[in-house]
Amino acid sequence: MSDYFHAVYVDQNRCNGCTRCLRVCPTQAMRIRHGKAVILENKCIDCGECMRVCPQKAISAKVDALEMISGYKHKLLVYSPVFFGQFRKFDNVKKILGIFKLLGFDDIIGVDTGGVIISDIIKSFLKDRKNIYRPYISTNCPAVVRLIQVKFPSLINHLLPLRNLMDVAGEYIKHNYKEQTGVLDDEIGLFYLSPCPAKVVAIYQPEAEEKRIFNGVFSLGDMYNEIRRIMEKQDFAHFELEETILSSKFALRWSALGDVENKFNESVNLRIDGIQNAIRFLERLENGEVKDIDFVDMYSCDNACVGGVFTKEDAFIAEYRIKKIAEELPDNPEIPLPFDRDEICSIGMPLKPRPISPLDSDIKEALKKMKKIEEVNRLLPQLNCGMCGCPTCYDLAEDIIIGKDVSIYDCPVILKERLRKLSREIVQMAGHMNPIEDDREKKPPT
Amino acid sequence: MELLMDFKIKGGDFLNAGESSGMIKEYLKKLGLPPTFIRRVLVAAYEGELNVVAHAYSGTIAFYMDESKVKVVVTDRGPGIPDIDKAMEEGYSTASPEVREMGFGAGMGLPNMKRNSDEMEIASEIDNGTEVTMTFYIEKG
Ligand SMILES: Nc1ncnc2c1ncn2[C@@H]1O[C@H](COP(=O)(O)OP(=O)(O)OP(=O)(O)O)[C@@H](O)[C@H]1O
Ligand code: SF4
Ligand SMILES: [Mg+2]
Repeated sequence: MSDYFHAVYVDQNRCNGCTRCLRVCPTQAMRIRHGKAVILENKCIDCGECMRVCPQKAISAKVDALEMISGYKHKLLVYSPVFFGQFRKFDNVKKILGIFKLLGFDDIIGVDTGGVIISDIIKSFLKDRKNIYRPYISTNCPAVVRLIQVKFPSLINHLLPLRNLMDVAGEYIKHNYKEQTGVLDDEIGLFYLSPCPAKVVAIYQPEAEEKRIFNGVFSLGDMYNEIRRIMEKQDFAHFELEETILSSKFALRWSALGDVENKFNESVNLRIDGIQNAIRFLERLENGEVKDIDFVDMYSCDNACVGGVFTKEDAFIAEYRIKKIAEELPDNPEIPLPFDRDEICSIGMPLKPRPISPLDSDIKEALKKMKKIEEVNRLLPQLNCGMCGCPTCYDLAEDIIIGKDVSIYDCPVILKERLRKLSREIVQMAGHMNPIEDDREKKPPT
Repeated sequence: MELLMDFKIKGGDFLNAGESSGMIKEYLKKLGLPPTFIRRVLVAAYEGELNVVAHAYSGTIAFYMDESKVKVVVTDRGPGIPDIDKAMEEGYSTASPEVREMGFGAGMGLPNMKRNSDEMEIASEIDNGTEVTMTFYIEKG
């Protein structure tokens, strides 16, 4: 029924239906059915919060296998600079990049380079008072983009109508490579090293693009494993990559930590991280309570991308390392721009909302259903305990009325009340002597 | 049209201002009405709610609906509005310059309610109260 691609999935064999995921899902997309977690496709935003808490490690995300690159003659990699934060010795990032070369990539670039390329464009966009949907919200975190599409469709115009850093970096490296080598499009495989499942979805099904930009996507965690294995086995002293592009102080911090403040200093900017914080803010924005803010860099993960689900290292430690690395980078790096900057920074098509389907396409029917949902909801204990397999009592009421295969007796409180009442009635019935019985008992047997 | 929800509003309770219109919004979102429609109702209801909080002693906000329209009625006990035409002017506010300096009282509340609703009626009696009735027709999505 759904055309939406999702990276996050539940391994039915591992799941024991414990309800942990139910409680953390920010869009109420989880249900427990037949003792196993299932994800509602139209509500899931692939933020991966469920993956973090699953005690059974039953929830994972689809990614591509590294072997995939062998299918392409020319292999280009865009990496999330969060990767640098995963290593204890981080003073020589060029060495880490050198190992990517060893893995077979022909050219390598960080997402942060996208930040160098696009920041002036964002700056002048924000300066232009004709752009009225303030605050503009950055599209760097695909989980935030989905959150707005699904839960806050009325805020769709607040999403910054420009490419996200990852796509800018991808277009850039490809343009550059083609220009330098004269290679054709179909000989190039463009890959992304991702900190999270949300970006995997953004690669398979980009929101504001006519077609895919990247050919494949790898998990930062898998890559960490791979590289650690190589490090254990080989002497990699000479792997240092000389002629690689490194970005700027600002761009590195922005792309890994969501740290925008000092760059766009002519506008009022906020950084919001953590999915619950994001939801609270969007709620206020939707209510019209947010005024005088121009730009919000918004991230689903705590601490932004260093807190990504695929990362290994503690987000605070990774953040410290990234900041240290950033100190060594230039303020204004020279990034060769042999082509039209505006073109690679523009989205292919406008973002559209994806509101969860209405209760009924007929408003009269929808109103009736809504009333019934509220009636059922009033009967429920409002404990939001998850024992019925729904995240909240309201969700159970809704699932009952929209005809999911559930019943009010899935609620253990209601069930117990009902059983108690029934047994009371049974006792009453059993205790009550039927006149015929009475007569028989009184009469001595003959 | 059926009354679906009503809420009490406390004059001077700026801390909780906006909660009632937030509940109306949630209801409309759950119904799955077009986002632009919901936004119109929300903005108007919010400003109406805020006017009670800012200018009156107490009030209610009632939310009615049928398959073709939504009606929001904001009623208050308060000083009333002496000159409704004047109050409707963009930028007109009785807020003191100090309050305006703090960023409140732009005089845009009533004009915004008018702009976002399809019909709006104001009945007001000095020293008694004000009733604002707004109707919104659901556009076909
Ligand atoms: N419910 C009310 N009771 C009494 N007076 C009111 C009421 N609503 C509005 N007014 C009067 O009408 C004026 C204009 O109202 P309006 O909502 O347009 O602006 P405001 O409330 O002053 O400022 P803003 O809504 O932009 O914060 C108010 O300053 C106030 O004097
Ligand atoms: S904050 Fe970064 S790592 Fe986390 S979901 Fe968003 S893009 Fe992915
Ligand atoms: Mg007002």
